[in-house]
Amino acid sequence: MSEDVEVPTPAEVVQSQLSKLKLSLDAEIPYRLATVFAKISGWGAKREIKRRAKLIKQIEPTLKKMLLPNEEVLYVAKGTQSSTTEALFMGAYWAAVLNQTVFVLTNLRILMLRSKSNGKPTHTFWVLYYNEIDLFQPNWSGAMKLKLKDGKKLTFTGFPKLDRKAMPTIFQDALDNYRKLNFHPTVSQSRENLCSHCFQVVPKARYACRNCGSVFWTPKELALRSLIFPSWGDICMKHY
Amino acid sequence: MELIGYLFSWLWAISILIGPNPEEGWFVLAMIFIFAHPVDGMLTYSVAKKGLSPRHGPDAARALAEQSADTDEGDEELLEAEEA
Repeated sequence: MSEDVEVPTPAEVVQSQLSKLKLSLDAEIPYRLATVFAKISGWGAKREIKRRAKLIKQIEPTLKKMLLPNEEVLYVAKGTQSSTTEALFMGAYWAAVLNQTVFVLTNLRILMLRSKSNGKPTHTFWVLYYNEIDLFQPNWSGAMKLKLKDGKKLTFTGFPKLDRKAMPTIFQDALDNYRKLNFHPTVSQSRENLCSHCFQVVPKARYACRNCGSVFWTPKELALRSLIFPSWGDICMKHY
Repeated sequence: MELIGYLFSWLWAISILIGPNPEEGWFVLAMIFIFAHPVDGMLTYSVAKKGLSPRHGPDAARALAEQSADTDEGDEELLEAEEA
Protein backbone atom coordinates (compact mmCIF):
# COMPACT_ATOMS: atom_id res chain seq x y z
CA MET A 1 0.00 0.00 0.00
CA SER A 2 1.50 3.27 -1.07
CA GLU A 3 0.58 6.66 0.28
CA ASP A 4 1.20 9.89 -1.61
CA VAL A 5 3.23 12.27 0.52
CA GLU A 6 2.91 15.85 -0.59
CA VAL A 7 6.23 17.61 -0.59
CA PRO A 8 5.79 21.30 0.23
CA THR A 9 7.07 23.75 -2.35
CA PRO A 10 9.91 26.11 -1.31
CA ALA A 11 7.40 28.97 -1.19
CA GLU A 12 5.18 26.97 1.17
CA VAL A 13 8.15 26.23 3.39
CA VAL A 14 9.00 29.94 3.55
CA GLN A 15 5.37 30.79 4.25
CA SER A 16 5.24 28.33 7.14
CA GLN A 17 8.52 29.71 8.52
CA LEU A 18 7.11 33.24 8.35
CA SER A 19 3.93 32.12 10.13
CA LYS A 20 6.00 30.36 12.81
CA LEU A 21 7.95 33.57 13.41
CA LYS A 22 4.69 35.59 13.36
CA LEU A 23 5.86 37.61 10.38
CA SER A 24 3.65 38.66 7.51
CA LEU A 25 4.21 40.40 4.21
CA ASP A 26 1.81 42.57 2.26
CA ALA A 27 -0.47 40.25 0.30
CA GLU A 28 -0.88 42.84 -2.47
CA ILE A 29 2.80 42.64 -3.39
CA PRO A 30 3.76 39.57 -5.42
CA TYR A 31 6.87 38.08 -3.83
CA ARG A 32 8.74 35.05 -5.13
CA LEU A 33 9.25 33.78 -1.60
CA ALA A 34 11.72 31.04 -2.50
CA THR A 35 14.23 33.61 -3.82
CA VAL A 36 13.42 36.50 -1.47
CA PHE A 37 14.18 34.27 1.51
CA ALA A 38 17.18 32.38 0.18
CA LYS A 39 18.14 30.90 3.57
CA ILE A 40 15.32 29.13 5.39
CA SER A 41 17.11 26.37 7.23
CA GLY A 42 20.31 25.82 9.12
CA TRP A 43 22.23 27.92 11.56
CA GLY A 44 21.14 31.58 11.64
CA ALA A 45 18.15 31.04 9.33
CA LYS A 46 15.60 32.47 11.77
CA ARG A 47 17.63 35.60 12.32
CA GLU A 48 18.11 35.99 8.57
CA ILE A 49 14.36 35.62 7.87
CA LYS A 50 13.53 38.17 10.58
CA ARG A 51 16.14 40.62 9.28
CA ARG A 52 14.89 40.44 5.71
CA ALA A 53 11.20 40.61 6.69
CA LYS A 54 11.97 43.71 8.76
CA LEU A 55 13.69 45.36 5.78
CA ILE A 56 10.82 44.44 3.45
CA LYS A 57 8.27 45.89 5.92
CA GLN A 58 10.11 49.23 5.77
CA ILE A 59 9.87 49.48 1.98
CA GLU A 60 6.45 47.90 1.39
CA PRO A 61 4.35 51.11 1.33
CA THR A 62 6.69 52.65 -1.28
CA LEU A 63 7.23 49.43 -3.18
CA LYS A 64 3.50 48.94 -3.64
CA LYS A 65 3.34 52.23 -5.55
CA MET A 66 6.47 51.49 -7.59
CA LEU A 67 5.67 48.04 -8.96
CA LEU A 68 4.21 47.59 -12.41
CA PRO A 69 1.39 45.12 -13.20
CA ASN A 70 2.78 41.56 -13.28
CA GLU A 71 6.05 42.67 -11.70
CA GLU A 72 7.27 40.16 -9.13
CA VAL A 73 9.76 40.82 -6.34
CA LEU A 74 12.66 38.35 -6.44
CA TYR A 75 15.05 39.76 -3.89
CA VAL A 76 15.45 42.63 -1.43
CA ALA A 77 18.78 43.70 0.08
CA LYS A 78 20.39 46.80 1.50
CA GLY A 79 23.88 48.10 0.86
CA THR A 80 25.81 51.33 0.85
CA GLN A 81 27.00 53.07 -2.28
CA SER A 82 30.62 53.78 -1.60
CA SER A 83 32.28 56.98 -2.71
CA THR A 84 35.90 57.68 -1.83
CA THR A 85 35.59 61.45 -2.35
CA GLU A 86 32.59 61.73 -0.06
CA ALA A 87 34.20 59.49 2.57
CA LEU A 88 37.33 61.66 2.45
CA PHE A 89 35.61 65.02 2.81
CA MET A 90 32.50 64.14 4.83
CA GLY A 91 33.91 61.33 6.89
CA ALA A 92 33.25 57.66 6.24
CA TYR A 93 30.33 57.50 8.71
CA TRP A 94 28.32 60.37 7.21
CA ALA A 95 29.06 59.25 3.67
CA ALA A 96 27.74 55.80 4.58
CA VAL A 97 24.64 57.20 6.29
CA LEU A 98 23.89 59.30 3.22
CA ASN A 99 24.35 56.51 0.68
CA GLN A 100 22.23 53.69 2.12
CA THR A 101 20.46 52.02 -0.79
CA VAL A 102 17.84 49.28 -0.85
CA PHE A 103 17.99 47.03 -3.91
CA VAL A 104 14.76 45.41 -5.08
CA LEU A 105 15.38 42.85 -7.79
CA THR A 106 12.21 42.08 -9.71
CA ASN A 107 11.51 39.93 -12.74
CA LEU A 108 11.60 43.10 -14.90
CA ARG A 109 14.22 45.44 -13.43
CA ILE A 110 16.23 46.52 -10.42
CA LEU A 111 14.65 49.23 -8.29
CA MET A 112 17.02 51.19 -6.10
CA LEU A 113 15.70 53.18 -3.17
CA ARG A 114 17.83 55.63 -1.20
CA SER A 115 17.08 54.85 2.43
CA LYS A 116 17.80 55.62 6.04
CA SER A 117 19.98 53.23 8.03
CA ASN A 118 16.93 51.19 9.04
CA GLY A 119 15.90 50.71 5.40
CA LYS A 120 13.06 53.25 5.37
CA PRO A 121 13.06 54.86 1.90
CA THR A 122 13.77 58.59 1.63
CA HIS A 123 12.93 60.37 -1.63
CA THR A 124 15.51 59.36 -4.24
CA PHE A 125 14.80 56.38 -6.48
CA TRP A 126 16.35 54.79 -9.53
CA VAL A 127 15.55 52.01 -11.97
CA LEU A 128 18.04 49.83 -13.73
CA TYR A 129 17.16 47.35 -16.47
CA TYR A 130 19.18 44.16 -16.36
CA ASN A 131 20.43 44.59 -19.92
CA GLU A 132 22.03 47.90 -18.91
CA ILE A 133 24.45 46.05 -16.63
CA ASP A 134 27.76 44.84 -18.02
CA LEU A 135 29.07 43.46 -14.76
CA PHE A 136 27.36 42.66 -11.46
CA GLN A 137 29.57 40.69 -9.14
CA PRO A 138 31.26 40.80 -5.76
CA ASN A 139 34.99 41.47 -5.68
CA TRP A 140 37.67 40.04 -3.38
CA SER A 141 36.99 42.65 -0.66
CA GLY A 142 33.29 41.82 -0.42
CA ALA A 143 32.14 44.94 -2.28
CA MET A 144 29.54 44.60 -5.00
CA LYS A 145 30.70 46.02 -8.32
CA LEU A 146 28.31 47.24 -10.96
CA LYS A 147 29.57 48.27 -14.36
CA LEU A 148 26.87 49.84 -16.48
CA LYS A 149 26.48 50.10 -20.26
CA ASP A 150 26.86 53.91 -20.21
CA GLY A 151 30.30 53.55 -18.59
CA LYS A 152 29.25 54.32 -15.02
CA LYS A 153 30.81 52.19 -12.33
CA LEU A 154 29.05 51.80 -8.99
CA THR A 155 30.45 50.11 -5.91
CA PHE A 156 28.27 48.96 -3.03
CA THR A 157 29.46 47.72 0.31
CA GLY A 158 27.66 46.34 3.35
CA PHE A 159 25.86 43.49 1.61
CA PRO A 160 25.98 40.28 3.67
CA LYS A 161 27.65 37.25 2.03
CA LEU A 162 24.26 35.69 1.26
CA ASP A 163 23.20 38.75 -0.74
CA ARG A 164 26.51 38.93 -2.57
CA LYS A 165 25.99 35.34 -3.71
CA ALA A 166 22.26 35.51 -4.50
CA MET A 167 22.02 38.80 -6.40
CA PRO A 168 24.39 38.00 -9.29
CA THR A 169 22.55 34.68 -9.83
CA ILE A 170 19.18 36.44 -10.04
CA PHE A 171 20.72 39.06 -12.33
CA GLN A 172 22.05 36.35 -14.66
CA ASP A 173 18.67 34.57 -14.80
CA ALA A 174 16.86 37.84 -15.50
CA LEU A 175 19.35 38.71 -18.24
CA ASP A 176 18.77 35.32 -19.87
CA ASN A 177 15.04 36.03 -19.78
CA TYR A 178 15.59 39.40 -21.46
CA ARG A 179 17.51 37.65 -24.24
CA LYS A 180 14.78 35.04 -24.68
CA LEU A 181 12.07 37.70 -24.82
CA ASN A 182 14.22 40.05 -26.92
CA PHE A 183 13.44 42.81 -24.43
CA HIS A 184 15.43 46.01 -25.02
CA PRO A 185 13.88 48.95 -23.18
CA THR A 186 14.98 52.40 -24.34
CA VAL A 187 16.73 54.50 -21.75
CA SER A 188 18.33 57.96 -21.50
CA GLN A 189 21.03 56.61 -19.14
CA SER A 190 21.74 53.19 -17.68
CA ARG A 191 20.53 54.05 -14.19
CA GLU A 192 17.38 56.10 -14.74
CA ASN A 193 16.08 58.54 -12.15
CA LEU A 194 12.56 57.99 -10.93
CA CYS A 195 10.15 60.71 -9.85
CA SER A 196 9.89 60.83 -6.06
CA HIS A 197 6.11 61.14 -6.23
CA CYS A 198 4.75 59.09 -9.14
CA PHE A 199 7.81 56.83 -9.76
CA GLN A 200 7.83 57.48 -13.51
CA VAL A 201 11.19 57.79 -15.25
CA VAL A 202 12.58 61.33 -15.38
CA PRO A 203 15.11 61.28 -18.25
CA LYS A 204 18.73 62.35 -17.91
CA ALA A 205 19.31 66.10 -17.41
CA ARG A 206 15.60 66.73 -16.80
CA TYR A 207 14.47 68.09 -13.46
CA ALA A 208 10.69 68.06 -13.84
CA CYS A 209 8.37 65.08 -14.10
CA ARG A 210 6.17 65.20 -17.19
CA ASN A 211 3.73 62.77 -15.60
CA CYS A 212 2.89 64.52 -12.32
CA GLY A 213 4.58 67.92 -12.67
CA SER A 214 6.92 67.54 -9.69
CA VAL A 215 10.02 69.72 -9.84
CA PHE A 216 13.48 68.72 -8.62
CA TRP A 217 16.54 70.71 -7.59
CA THR A 218 19.30 70.82 -10.18
CA PRO A 219 22.83 69.98 -8.91
CA LYS A 220 23.96 73.52 -9.82
CA GLU A 221 21.21 75.16 -7.76
CA LEU A 222 22.12 73.04 -4.76
CA ALA A 223 25.87 73.52 -5.17
CA LEU A 224 25.42 77.29 -5.40
CA ARG A 225 23.45 77.29 -2.15
CA SER A 226 26.17 75.29 -0.41
CA LEU A 227 28.82 77.61 -1.82
CA ILE A 228 27.02 80.62 -0.34
CA PHE A 229 26.23 78.96 2.96
CA PRO A 230 27.62 75.48 3.69
CA SER A 231 24.90 72.90 4.44
CA TRP A 232 22.17 74.99 2.76
CA GLY A 233 22.26 72.58 -0.19
CA ASP A 234 22.09 69.58 2.15
CA ILE A 235 19.08 71.09 3.92
CA CYS A 236 17.37 71.50 0.52
CA MET A 237 18.12 67.82 -0.18
CA LYS A 238 16.65 66.95 3.22
CA HIS A 239 19.88 65.32 4.41
CA TYR A 240 19.14 65.76 8.08
CA MET B 1 25.88 68.04 11.87
CA GLU B 2 27.65 69.90 9.09
CA LEU B 3 25.83 73.08 10.07
CA ILE B 4 26.97 72.69 13.68
CA GLY B 5 30.59 72.25 12.53
CA TYR B 6 30.30 75.32 10.32
CA LEU B 7 28.81 77.46 13.11
CA PHE B 8 31.57 76.31 15.47
CA SER B 9 34.25 77.37 12.98
CA TRP B 10 32.59 80.83 12.86
CA LEU B 11 32.48 81.01 16.65
CA TRP B 12 36.16 80.09 16.74
CA ALA B 13 37.00 82.79 14.18
CA ILE B 14 34.96 85.41 16.11
CA SER B 15 36.58 84.43 19.42
CA ILE B 16 40.01 85.05 17.85
CA LEU B 17 38.81 88.29 16.22
CA ILE B 18 37.81 89.79 19.56
CA GLY B 19 41.04 88.54 21.17
CA PRO B 20 44.47 90.20 21.25
CA ASN B 21 45.46 89.04 17.72
CA PRO B 22 42.52 89.89 15.43
CA GLU B 23 44.69 89.30 12.32
CA GLU B 24 44.60 85.57 13.06
CA GLY B 25 40.81 85.73 13.19
CA TRP B 26 40.69 87.30 9.73
CA PHE B 27 43.01 84.55 8.52
CA VAL B 28 40.65 81.86 9.92
CA LEU B 29 37.67 83.59 8.29
CA ALA B 30 39.53 83.72 4.97
CA MET B 31 40.28 79.99 5.25
CA ILE B 32 36.58 79.28 5.88
CA PHE B 33 35.62 81.17 2.73
CA ILE B 34 38.46 79.83 0.62
CA PHE B 35 38.21 76.16 1.64
CA ALA B 36 35.00 75.27 3.51
CA HIS B 37 32.57 76.96 1.10
CA PRO B 38 33.96 75.64 -2.23
CA VAL B 39 34.54 72.14 -0.82
CA ASP B 40 30.96 71.99 0.44
CA GLY B 41 29.71 73.32 -2.88
CA MET B 42 31.60 70.61 -4.78
CA LEU B 43 30.48 67.87 -2.41
CA THR B 44 26.87 68.99 -2.67
CA TYR B 45 27.17 68.96 -6.46
CA SER B 46 28.56 65.41 -6.47
CA VAL B 47 25.83 64.16 -4.10
CA ALA B 48 23.04 65.99 -5.97
CA LYS B 49 24.18 64.61 -9.34
CA LYS B 50 23.44 61.05 -8.23
CA GLY B 51 19.67 61.36 -8.10
CA LEU B 52 16.66 63.62 -7.85
CA SER B 53 15.85 65.76 -4.83
CA PRO B 54 12.26 67.03 -4.77
CA ARG B 55 11.71 70.78 -4.79
CA HIS B 56 7.99 71.16 -5.49
CA GLY B 57 5.35 68.45 -5.32
CA PRO B 58 2.98 67.30 -8.07
CA ASP B 59 1.17 69.97 -10.08
CA ALA B 60 -1.24 69.07 -12.88
CA ALA B 61 -0.78 72.41 -14.68
CA ARG B 62 3.01 72.02 -14.64
CA ALA B 63 2.72 68.44 -15.92
CA LEU B 64 0.61 69.65 -18.84
CA ALA B 65 3.15 72.39 -19.59
CA GLU B 66 5.97 69.80 -19.52
CA GLN B 67 4.07 67.51 -21.86
CA SER B 68 3.30 70.30 -24.31
CA ALA B 69 6.95 71.42 -24.22
CA ASP B 70 7.94 67.86 -25.13
CA THR B 71 5.39 67.81 -27.95
CA ASP B 72 6.71 71.15 -29.27
CA GLU B 73 10.26 69.81 -29.26
CA GLY B 74 9.07 66.73 -31.13
CA ASP B 75 7.19 68.87 -33.67
CA GLU B 76 10.26 71.02 -34.27
CA GLU B 77 12.41 67.94 -34.83
CA LEU B 78 9.82 66.54 -37.24
CA LEU B 79 9.65 69.83 -39.18
CA GLU B 80 13.44 69.97 -39.40
CA ALA B 81 13.54 66.39 -40.64
CA GLU B 82 10.84 67.10 -43.26
CA GLU B 83 12.65 70.23 -44.45
CA ALA B 84 15.89 68.30 -44.78
